Amino acid sequence: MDRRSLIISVGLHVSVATLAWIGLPSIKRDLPDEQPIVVMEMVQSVPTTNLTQGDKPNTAKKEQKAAKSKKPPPPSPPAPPRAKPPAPKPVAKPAPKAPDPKAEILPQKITPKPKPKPAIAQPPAPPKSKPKTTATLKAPKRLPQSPPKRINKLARQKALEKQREDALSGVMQNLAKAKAVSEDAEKKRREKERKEAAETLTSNLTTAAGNAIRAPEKPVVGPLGLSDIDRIRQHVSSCWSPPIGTAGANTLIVDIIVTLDRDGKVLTAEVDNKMRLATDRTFRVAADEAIRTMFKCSPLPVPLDKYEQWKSFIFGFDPKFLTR
Amino acid sequence: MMMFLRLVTVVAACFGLFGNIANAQLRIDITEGQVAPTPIAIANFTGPDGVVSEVGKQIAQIISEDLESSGLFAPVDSAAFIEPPKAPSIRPNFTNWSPLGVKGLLVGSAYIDSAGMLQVEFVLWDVVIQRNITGGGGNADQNAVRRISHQIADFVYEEFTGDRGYFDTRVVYVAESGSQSRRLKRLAIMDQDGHNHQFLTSGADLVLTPRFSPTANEIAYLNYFNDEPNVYLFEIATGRTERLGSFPGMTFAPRFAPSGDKLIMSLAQNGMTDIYEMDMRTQAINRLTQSASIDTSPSYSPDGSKIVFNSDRGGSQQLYVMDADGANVRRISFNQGRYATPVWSPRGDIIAFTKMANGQFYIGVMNVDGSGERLLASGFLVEGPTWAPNGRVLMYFKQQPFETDGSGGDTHVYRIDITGFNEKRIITPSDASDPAWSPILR
Repeated sequence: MDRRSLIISVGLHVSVATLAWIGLPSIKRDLPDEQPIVVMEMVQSVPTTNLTQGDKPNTAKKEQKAAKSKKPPPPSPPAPPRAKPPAPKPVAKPAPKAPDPKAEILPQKITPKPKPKPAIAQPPAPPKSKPKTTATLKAPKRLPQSPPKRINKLARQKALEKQREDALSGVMQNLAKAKAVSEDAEKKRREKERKEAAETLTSNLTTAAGNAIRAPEKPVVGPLGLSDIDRIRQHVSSCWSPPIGTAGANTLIVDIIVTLDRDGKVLTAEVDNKMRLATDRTFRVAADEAIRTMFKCSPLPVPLDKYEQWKSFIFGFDPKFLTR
Repeated sequence: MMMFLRLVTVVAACFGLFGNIANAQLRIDITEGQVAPTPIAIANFTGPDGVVSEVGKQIAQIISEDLESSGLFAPVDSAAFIEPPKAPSIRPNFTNWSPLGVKGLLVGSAYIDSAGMLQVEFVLWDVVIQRNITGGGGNADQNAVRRISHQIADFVYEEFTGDRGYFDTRVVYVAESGSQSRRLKRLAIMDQDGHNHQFLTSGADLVLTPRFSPTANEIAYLNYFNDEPNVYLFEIATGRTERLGSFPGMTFAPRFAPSGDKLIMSLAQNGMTDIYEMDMRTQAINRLTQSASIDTSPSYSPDGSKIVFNSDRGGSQQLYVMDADGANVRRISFNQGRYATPVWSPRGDIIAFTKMANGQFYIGVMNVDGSGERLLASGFLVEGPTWAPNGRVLMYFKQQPFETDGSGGDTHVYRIDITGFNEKRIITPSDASDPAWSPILR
């Protein structure tokens, strides 16, 4: 058991170390393509937490902008998880030209893309080194180019021996050179592989993160704010007649799944707990009233620009307050 | 390298998971609502030719009055209708009913056929969801217009509240007349809305505390025959009376067991008043309480397993609960004041009572363990609560004196919703006290 744990532990440590060794240096190097994309997500997610928008829906947009520029993080709860990754923010520093990180930030952050591009031009340079490696391979050809001339036997022999020695040492030298060159080439090849792997990792992470954070790619809109939800809740409450005086009213909690069209009009309203619907008459009546409430309240006062957030709701009608 | 790619995949999967959580369906809990009567349209019933019939108007009127009297419905004046009433077989044009703000629409047909029978058909529509909720039909004697109307009102009530209706029920009570010194008290019966009133006894003997049997065919009551108070049984269909049991002492406060085969009552003997049960078939009695105090006003729980009663065994008049065989007696009322005439709700969840405190009388309800006491009505004298068969309406009587010393004044029967709202007087030909609500008529 202990040995297995040790093996797993060692394995994990090794993999983490390997990952760090392979990935971190690459990240430090210029990988401008991916970084700005991440930054873009972060920047967009921060200002769209619409707590402030909900608090002051129509009154003072200017004030909101000012508040945002001063304190981008204060936004509501949804922000924290996305606000952490701002590690990339420093990378976004190249855009410091934009002093007010408001709405303008978005376009400005996107524009820096081209700036790092020149950096991209540099990496292609290494490929040039490849021809060098092929050039060093020409060295062995020199061997046949030094044939000795015959003067006398001894001299020839000596000369031959010398030549052999020279040739041998030359071959050895050449071999050593070739070895060094090939090692160098291997190093570069490995480095290239690492670089490619790092690029793949970064791009995969970026894609995954991007998919997770933003559902639709084009209009990036924040979640419904508390004020939006309160407004909807109050509207629906004003249409609901709870089952007053009914036996066991506190247990008649009805969940209605509602789908809406883009204008907030109720398209469908269905009871979630269909089993109880069939067996409990009082529950059925409470469920009918809940469904009536949804259609009576249609359309709902939803923010039209956040359709993706509210196209489907669950409304829980809970009459416990009648028994308090 | 493979390991490395796997790691990447795992990380990506994690991001994907978070993404799904972020996109989870939004839930909003609605924990407040509007407590208001349900708006409903009751169209005049049409005849076979599709034109409103006289009896159809009468039926629509009775149904409207029933629903409105409950305090839970607000029938819309027919003068506001955009569309004339149509036969129940025709689907209404909902765009003509939605503007009225109604949730339901009742349409029907009613006419007297060639055999002199009343033929009735009805359909209840949900105007908001635009679908048929329920419907039905039948025939009846021409004189049963009110009763068949009450039955239709019960259908509507049930569909919108979830509880059974109580409109097709009757009430027996003590009709009072004459001066206080020579008060005439007779048994009388009427529909729950005060119609179809009828005296059952002549007034020759003083009568008190009438109670319906579970079949609503008999009434048990206290009758002072020759100045001797005893429990009697009155058969409504025949008018026949019968004394229940013959033993020394005084019997009073009778009430039927839910099964109808037993009756519990108080019997005062040798200065002690205890609770007894009587077998209705053999008239054999069985003593359930044994104390030197006064134990009276017993009432069964709906399942017949428990009995609630009031007793002064603890020094003051309080409520107690015991098993149906008299075991496990325990006090349930502990608040200030005296408690009397407890009645177990047909739902079984609460007990109604009369309370006397601070020089006032109250009608209230409490949970069966004595908790959650709520006072619904008060007055100089309010007493004798009785439950509607669905357990959500109480009837009782109230005396309002003319003089400041409490003398004189009228005594009338009232009803109130268990929420404490919608107190309404039931109109009777004379003063009325001691009401008892019947079960649903069959």
